[in-house]
Amino acid sequence: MSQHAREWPLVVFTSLAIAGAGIVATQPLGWAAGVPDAVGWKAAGMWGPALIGLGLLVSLAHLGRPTRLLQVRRGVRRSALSNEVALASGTLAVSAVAALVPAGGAAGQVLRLLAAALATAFLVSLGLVYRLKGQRAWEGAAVAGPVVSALALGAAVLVARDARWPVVILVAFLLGVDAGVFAVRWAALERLDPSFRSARSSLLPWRVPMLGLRLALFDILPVGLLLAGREATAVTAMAAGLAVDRLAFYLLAVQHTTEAEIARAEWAIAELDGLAGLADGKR
Amino acid sequence: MTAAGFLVDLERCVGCGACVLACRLENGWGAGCDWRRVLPLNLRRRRSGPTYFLSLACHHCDHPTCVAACPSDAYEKRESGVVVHLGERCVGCRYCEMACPFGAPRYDAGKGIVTKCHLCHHRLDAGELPACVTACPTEALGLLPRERADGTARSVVPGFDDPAGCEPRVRFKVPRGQRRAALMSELEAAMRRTSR
Repeated sequence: MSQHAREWPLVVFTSLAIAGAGIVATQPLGWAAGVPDAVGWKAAGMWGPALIGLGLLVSLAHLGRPTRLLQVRRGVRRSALSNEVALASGTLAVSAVAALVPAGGAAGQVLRLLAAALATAFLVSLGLVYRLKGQRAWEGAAVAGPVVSALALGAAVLVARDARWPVVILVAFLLGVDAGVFAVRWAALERLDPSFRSARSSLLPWRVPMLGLRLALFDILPVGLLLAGREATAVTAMAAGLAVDRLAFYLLAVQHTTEAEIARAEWAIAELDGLAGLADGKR
Repeated sequence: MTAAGFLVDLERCVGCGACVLACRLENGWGAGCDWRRVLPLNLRRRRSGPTYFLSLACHHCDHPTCVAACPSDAYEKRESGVVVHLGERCVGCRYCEMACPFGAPRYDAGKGIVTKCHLCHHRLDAGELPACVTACPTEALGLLPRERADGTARSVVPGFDDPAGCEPRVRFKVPRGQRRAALMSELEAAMRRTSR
């Protein structure tokens, strides 16, 4: 299986989990803005845990030994990946219970607040998973990407349920922040040493159309659609943008390896040779 | 025998691959999950750069990112300094592959787990040298003593760097002779000039 093909479960898992956690994390915002809530499968609150649960199931396809899944508990607190799995599971459990309890009561509100806090912590942990010293393209602003995108998508879902101007303004603000974070991520990719770029990912030449499509679908198009009153279409565009984002995130990953370091040295030798050839020509 | 790393003599290594074959025969790893690799630098022999071979496996780092990243505690850094992978705990998530900047952990698709060099600790315990060191016909590959650093060997050469601060336990004896030393210095200066 190729390097890219084996990562599809991660693309699906992170797309679904970010969308689900975004819905859960923004639920308290819905009360604050007076968006009416519902109970059971019709409630937006139920879609959050459903998406996270489905994502976690799909993520099992990435494991070579899924039957050993419980071993992941050993790394909680030390390993960012263990923390992510633990927080995703916690968010799933609490938000699923919260969705079945009426929101009006004290128990429902406490559960929803707890689920929102867990979902936010999960989104932060999801960003931190990829802050690895061996990775060149997953540094800096990439860490903040999931949490900002999820909050923007969750708030847009609130608008789609009941368009209130304060929430619409908030969505526009979050989309602005998301576009800024994404621009920093893109710029970091452009700053990579050319020898690393050529050594690692054959898909890097496609980064401009891929990242451009993501920016248009997630950050630019939804603003116009929201202002035009087409909230459901805006959410659909953002969901598609999120999927493209995750796909690009994995396809454009650049890992530091010794092979890449050798490619950098070969690059430098070729440049030196070119300079020596020029100097010989002048003589 | 206390040792936790390799000493590679770039002057002596001829790139024959005997170390790779010996490692495979000793440890039985499958195709595509090479515990040891021999990577050539400047095989085209461009005149502005030195030519040598880097025979590399796991570096049993002092600050191993694989140990810190693994969600299932499948790695342990032993007192001897050797980083050992415990296959029975591995879930096959391949997170260590992403974390290691040297490409040492290798995924074995057949077993569904990651595997890597363990410095032939079974041989070390029996007072023998690792299979790769024993097989090297030019004695280019040696063991790096745990406590005593070799003052003449270097930790970084063109083609091998430690960008993550893992402090890999590998040292290189650089090509000797005035011309080769000059080529090496020029290349290092050129690489410092290029952005990272």
